Amino acid sequence: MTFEGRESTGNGYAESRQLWEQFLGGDLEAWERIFTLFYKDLYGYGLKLSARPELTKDCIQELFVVLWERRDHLDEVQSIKAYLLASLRRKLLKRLKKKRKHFTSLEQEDTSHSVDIQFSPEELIIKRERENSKLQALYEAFDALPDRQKEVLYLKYFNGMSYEEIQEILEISYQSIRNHIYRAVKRLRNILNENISEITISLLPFLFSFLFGI
Amino acid sequence: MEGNSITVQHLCSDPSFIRWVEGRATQNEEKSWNEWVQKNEENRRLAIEAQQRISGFVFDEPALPDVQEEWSKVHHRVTAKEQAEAKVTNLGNGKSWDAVSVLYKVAAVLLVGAFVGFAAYIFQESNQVKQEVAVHTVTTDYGETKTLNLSDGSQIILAANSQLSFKENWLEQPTKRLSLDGEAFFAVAPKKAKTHPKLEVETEDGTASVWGTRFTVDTYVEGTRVVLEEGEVEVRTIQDKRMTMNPGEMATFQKESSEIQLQKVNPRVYTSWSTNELFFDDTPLSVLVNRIKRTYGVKVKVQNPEILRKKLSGSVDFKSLDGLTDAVAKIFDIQIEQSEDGLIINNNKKG
Repeated sequence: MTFEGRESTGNGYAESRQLWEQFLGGDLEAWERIFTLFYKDLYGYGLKLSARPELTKDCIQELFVVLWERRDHLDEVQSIKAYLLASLRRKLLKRLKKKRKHFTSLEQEDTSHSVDIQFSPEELIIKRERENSKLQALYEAFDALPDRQKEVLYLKYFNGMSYEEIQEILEISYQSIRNHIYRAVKRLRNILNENISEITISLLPFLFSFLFGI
Repeated sequence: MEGNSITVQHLCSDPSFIRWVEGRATQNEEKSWNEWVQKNEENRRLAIEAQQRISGFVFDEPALPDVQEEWSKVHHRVTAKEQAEAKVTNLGNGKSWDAVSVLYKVAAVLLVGAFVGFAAYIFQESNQVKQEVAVHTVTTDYGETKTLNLSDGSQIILAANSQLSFKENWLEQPTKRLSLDGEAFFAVAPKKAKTHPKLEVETEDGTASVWGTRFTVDTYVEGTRVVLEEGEVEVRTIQDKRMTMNPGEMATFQKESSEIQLQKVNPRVYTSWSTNELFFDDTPLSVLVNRIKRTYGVKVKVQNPEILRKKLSGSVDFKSLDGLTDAVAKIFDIQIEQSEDGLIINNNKKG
């Protein structure tokens, strides 16, 4: 198929653009629309990063108060969703870092400056019930991925973000996002491949189609 | 294929899309799928579903909190702040009081236990008049000051992280009463007849009554501290102990004790913040550190506590935390580092 064929109608883009402009112009109702539209994504992502519901709720609240107050100084954004996720991520990590520093100084450990986020492996759900036997293997495989790879996969598969948007959110290079996705998928596929022998034959054609893109 | 008929099924069987999902796509493929997914929320929804089918797993949806309730908190904070700001700008011209009455509900929420003395006072008053009088509150955040210009030429400057409350009709009263939690500077225009005080500032420890004067009140330390720069102030503790202050004096009093401590000070050290500078007169660094803490809400870590005893005279710019730390570092010949956690003060290694 050709790429031209992928054009889809639907005015979601134009609509959210318009919402953002209304918000910049001081329309509190538009701001509420944006809040409701993206709350699930923000909260889900925040939980993955921090595993702390109260902190996440707090940061989202704060984010929407602060952005509202600064709306005169804000610009057009390419992608509202990416912008909000990126802002929430910064805010959360800052708060988590503070807490962690506090703890490490209490325990007299040396304070390393690396920001290792606790990407808690929340419930992964296998799409098809028949594959439940793989669940444990997938859990373990996913859990064993480096944090960055988990985060990239999460943003891509769960939030449907483009590579560029992920780049904006994580503030890392485009190429490294490519690498992260490629490596994560490869590792997951390896694990699942090993598992294939244990899965009933009837599943095989199905599995191949989604694992290898045939 | 029709332009708008793309389905999850199509995506799942499109090798180019699968390559994009798995990070194996060519640059051109990547570019167009990136653009496609960003184009609108419907495309994004399709992409999410297709990717989950291709990968074979999904992430569990979080148990969402009450989004409506979360929004109402944001809404409340946003509107409360804007109304408070609108009121401060309105104070000067004295005619926009109607707009101010909107604030009543918000102010009532903000008033907490710290204002016991004041609450009792309102209660008394309202019994006499048999009607409730609205209370207004002006608050400041860290790093922020607000100036209230009254129509008679008096000026009140509220320091950072402070709160000032007053009743709706306070300006019409012969004695204007205010309640303070935090710190404020008052420059009150003198009054001819001295039958009653011009202004009264209440804290939880007592009251400062004023007949035209320049002074500061703060409640940051244990108890309340009043520093008089010019004019005449009478302080009265909550236990009804009274004392008249002279310029250049600092009175300190607590609600638990009936004593008022009086001390000779250079008032500029205590009032200069109101003009965006800080003045010291043989003042130890510790005093300055305390002021930075409560003004900007930052933590300050001092590596060598000996430094805190360094004394110095001079003045520094107080407008921004950056300007302030630069100047203080120079004057005291120390190093001040800004970190995520706050300020870290060190001996100057070069020195």
